[in-house]
Amino acid sequence: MTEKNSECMLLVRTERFGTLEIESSKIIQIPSGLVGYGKPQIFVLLEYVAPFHWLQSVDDPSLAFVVLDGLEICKKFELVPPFGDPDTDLREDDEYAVILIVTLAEKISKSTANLLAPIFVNMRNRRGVQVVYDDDPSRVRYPIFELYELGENS
Amino acid sequence: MLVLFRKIGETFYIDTPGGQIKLTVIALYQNGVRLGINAPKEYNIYREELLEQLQQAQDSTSGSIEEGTLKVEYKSPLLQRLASKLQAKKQVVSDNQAESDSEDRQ
Repeated sequence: MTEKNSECMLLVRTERFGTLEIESSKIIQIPSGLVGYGKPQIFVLLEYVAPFHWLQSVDDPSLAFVVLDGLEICKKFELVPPFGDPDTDLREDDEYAVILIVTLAEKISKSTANLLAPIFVNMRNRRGVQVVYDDDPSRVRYPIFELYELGENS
Repeated sequence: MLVLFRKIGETFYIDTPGGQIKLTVIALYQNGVRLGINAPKEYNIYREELLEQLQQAQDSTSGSIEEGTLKVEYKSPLLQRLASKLQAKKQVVSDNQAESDSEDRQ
């Protein structure tokens, strides 16, 4: 085990990136998992081509999602954060991040983000929960060029 | 499958390890029924077609994005704080060691 400092390093096996060395403090826990994916609860967020990240499962090497920051858009749509949620212990004065899962299309500008079920992460304890907002199912494929002015260099 | 008969306004209960779920028939239409559900907060309730849509949307993240194809250089400060560097473990670790290391992670 390679421990360079007091921080514990984890080896995370992934299908896309090989085995990664991740600081254990960088883990994101989603105790209820993601809707439709059951068990995997432990994830790491990996840098990708800006503004995208990967949400990589630690339990399942093949499970990884392309994600985007969705804080601003959630505020715009007045999606109420899950205050009082037991998984994240999210309180009104907590800082939180919103992660949206992206569906990649052939053209990135045509790709969509899942605004129907954003993942809220409490920055205080790095615990997250996916919340389904059932009021407008069309938001399951929200065009990301409306979130970010995505143009392609071509 | 258990099949019950209920009139409008009538209720039935489902006992679960996490608490009791109360279902009430609110209204009947020609081809639909409106149900009221009272369940413990930690129970998630989804319409079937919504779940299917969600799964489809989340399943198709199989493509990839080429470096330099995007004009955007925005990096979300919040996600940056949550993120880890994409740093591959040097290949000196044999599979066996990787196995025992990953067991330490809990």
